[in-house]
Amino acid sequence: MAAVEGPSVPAPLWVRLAWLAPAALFAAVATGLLPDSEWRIPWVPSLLADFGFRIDGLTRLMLALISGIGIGVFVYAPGYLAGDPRLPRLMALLVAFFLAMVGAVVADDPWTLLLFWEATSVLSFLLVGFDRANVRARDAARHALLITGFGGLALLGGLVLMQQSAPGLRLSHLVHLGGTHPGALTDPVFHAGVALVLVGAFTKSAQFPFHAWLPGAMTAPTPVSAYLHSATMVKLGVYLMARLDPAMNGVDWWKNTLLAVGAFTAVFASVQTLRERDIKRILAWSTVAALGTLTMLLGLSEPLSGVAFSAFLLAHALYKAPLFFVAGNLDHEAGTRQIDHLRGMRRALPFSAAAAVLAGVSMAGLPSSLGVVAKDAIKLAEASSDTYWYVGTASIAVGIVAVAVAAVATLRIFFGPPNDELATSAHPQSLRMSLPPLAIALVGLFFGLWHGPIEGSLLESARAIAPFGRLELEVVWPTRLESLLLAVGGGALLFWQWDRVHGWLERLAALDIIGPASLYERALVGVKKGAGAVTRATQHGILGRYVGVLAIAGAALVLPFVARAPLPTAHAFAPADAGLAAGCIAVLGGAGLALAARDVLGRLLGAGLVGMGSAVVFLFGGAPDVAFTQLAVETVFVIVAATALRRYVPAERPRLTPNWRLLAAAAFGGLLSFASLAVFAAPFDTALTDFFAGASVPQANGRNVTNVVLVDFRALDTLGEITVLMLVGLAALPLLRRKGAKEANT
Amino acid sequence: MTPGEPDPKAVEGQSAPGRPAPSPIVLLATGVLYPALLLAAVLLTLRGHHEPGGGFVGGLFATVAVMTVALVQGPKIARRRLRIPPIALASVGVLLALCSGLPALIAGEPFLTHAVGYLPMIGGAWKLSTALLFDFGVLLCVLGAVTGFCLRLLESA
Repeated sequence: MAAVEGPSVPAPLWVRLAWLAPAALFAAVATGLLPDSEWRIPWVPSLLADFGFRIDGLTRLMLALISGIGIGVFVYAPGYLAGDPRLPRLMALLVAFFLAMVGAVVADDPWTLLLFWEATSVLSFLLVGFDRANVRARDAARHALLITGFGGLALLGGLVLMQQSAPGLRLSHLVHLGGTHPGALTDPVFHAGVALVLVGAFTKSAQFPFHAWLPGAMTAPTPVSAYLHSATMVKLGVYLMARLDPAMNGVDWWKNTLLAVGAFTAVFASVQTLRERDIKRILAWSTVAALGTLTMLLGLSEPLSGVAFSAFLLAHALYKAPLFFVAGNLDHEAGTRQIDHLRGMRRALPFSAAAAVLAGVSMAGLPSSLGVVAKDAIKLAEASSDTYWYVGTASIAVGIVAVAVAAVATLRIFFGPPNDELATSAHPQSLRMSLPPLAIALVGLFFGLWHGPIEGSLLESARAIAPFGRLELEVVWPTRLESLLLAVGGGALLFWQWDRVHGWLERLAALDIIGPASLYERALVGVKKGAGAVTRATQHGILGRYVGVLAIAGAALVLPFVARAPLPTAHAFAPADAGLAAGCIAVLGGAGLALAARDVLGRLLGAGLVGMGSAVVFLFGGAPDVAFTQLAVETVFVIVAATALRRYVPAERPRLTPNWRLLAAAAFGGLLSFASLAVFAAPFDTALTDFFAGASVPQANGRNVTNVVLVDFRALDTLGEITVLMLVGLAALPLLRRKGAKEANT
Repeated sequence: MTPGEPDPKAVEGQSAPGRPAPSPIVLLATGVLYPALLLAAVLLTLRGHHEPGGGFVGGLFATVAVMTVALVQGPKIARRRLRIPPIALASVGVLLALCSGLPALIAGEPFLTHAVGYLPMIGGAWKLSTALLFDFGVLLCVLGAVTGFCLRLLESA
């Protein structure tokens, strides 16, 4: 992954200083420069869509995460890919992602949110597939894009439905929806919209059954995994749920869905964690478990769930990001992420070891860490809710596995006798790589020891989720001790028996074939097979069959209109002058010639005569413009068709039988003739004719209405058409190989 | 009917080597038809705003002119008489149509609102309009795109 290909390239100045961007934002958030505010830029007023932005407590917490972890990532990445020529591309994508993420959490207008939301999906695709020579990275990127892209579509549909039900709805309205859109909550359309938005949020936050892309995304470079797939982007889904929660918390299906999906995801991911040997994938599954826990928390009753949610959101980012950095450092140093080979690494990587221990303490929820604050809040929220049995059970299971994972990431990897088989470099790792994990983990420890600086922010954030009620972070010692002993005891047991449990769970591998990941793989193969079958069935290359399909489909399209059309009246067959008669005779003659001719060229000339005859009919029928055009088009058509027909080789495969051909031709010709006669029978609406006849000279200085419409009234359409014509001409050139060009090229 | 190798000495009124020689009557007719059809194309476009005609028909007439030469004397000679590569003609046509809309933008009107001016000339004032520029753009685009396609079709056969 981090192997340097080709010569070492020094990093440009902007890459080295990119961390200043998140640092500036972080400073602004930390010093209170971003008070609660709203501002809007008009976008499409007719659709009630603005570029609307809003800052409140939850936004500030998200901004602090994005910018704070962002500083670490932007410092770390140039060290991780030092000397790699691809480094500027990585940094550019990361900076773009940073901006998209900031936009997504300050967005107030749903369409503004959607825009930034999709941007994060696309950037995630590019970042997961960053190592584009690696087929696994490309597959993982495609998986991530298909799932989150599908979620984006669901989000779009959901937002449209919500807007239908509550016009002009903004995210900030959701806190007091009864005041701004009183009827929305009783409208089933609104609920359908919320359900679709929830699907979008589930895909983004890797909730079961949309979780499988996240562990796969671990093929991305470590800074990307730490930033997108643990600390920020995957939090966007739970962030959106948190925005919806104030409006929906009283609704049963919403609560039950969040609780059930969140709890199941958390437990499922915890079990999957135990099946992995790759430290990065272990961390990825534990991230999925954390996201499940966050979803579950939102399903609990207010108001304490808001505090628990905010605290856990912050704590998780502060311990998971350092652990990912550490995994990257291990990979860099030892060339492997397999926990079977990694041991005693504390001598080679002292800084990483320290960071891992600090982060691990927080992850395990030991006292004096931020993790324990989150755990307390979760415990209190559960205790005060009319909770379901499985929520408590899921929490305990997730807590036990979290302790075990923390122990694996610290004790197992960094302590014990070193593995002599691993070739480790003698020189210490650069500060850019060893400092960020340590710094972020220290921040987590600091906040755990001293809640003061963050308590206000967490309560503000919680207030954005639960606007009513009194909020306090109070510690209940007996509850805490009980849950702590349970988690640490269970976790220690699990850690001790890790390999044995791993072995047991491996026997469950047979169940994977009914899992979502396997379904995704099979769907991918199925889509390819299905597309192939459809193409083979429709693109057979037999010209006669194409024409038959066109004729039958055309007839079928016309049929419903003809069935309702008035019968042609005698007026339509009114006798006309000699010119018209001559045209008609030419048309009939041409048709006869086409039928009688034995070879293709003769038939073509017959068809051309039909066209010429129609031109004469137009000429005497009062449409000289159409006549001219028809004449020229017919001439060019005959030339082109005659040229093309020289290459025509009759199909060897069986064509449509004569009876079928006769039927298709009769149906198509008969119905179209009937339709054109029926048009004349209906009363003619002259509104357009009158307008153009009257407006042509005064508005466009032209007497030829046809031309005036083309070059004046609908000039933009014409411009578009000739552009298409030019592009078609251009595109056709490479398809037609010049004779002899092949020999010339080889 | 296969186009031969490029022959630097091939001139108007002759066919490229390797092709059956066309009959002198057809050759003569081509010599007359080519300029006549091109002239007709220009006239149709010029008068299009008031009388039947316009850039699209004009473009098709010009195409027929080029294709007449191509069928009788071969695509090589048709290309030579055209001088400018067809796809370049088409691109210039689209650009011309695009540019005809710019004066309106400068004047603060909607894009492609055509302006009219009268040029005093012997025998009465000539009416000039950006619409005419637009129509010639259409002519060039149709001519370029269709002849480019047809000539390549002839060459590949």
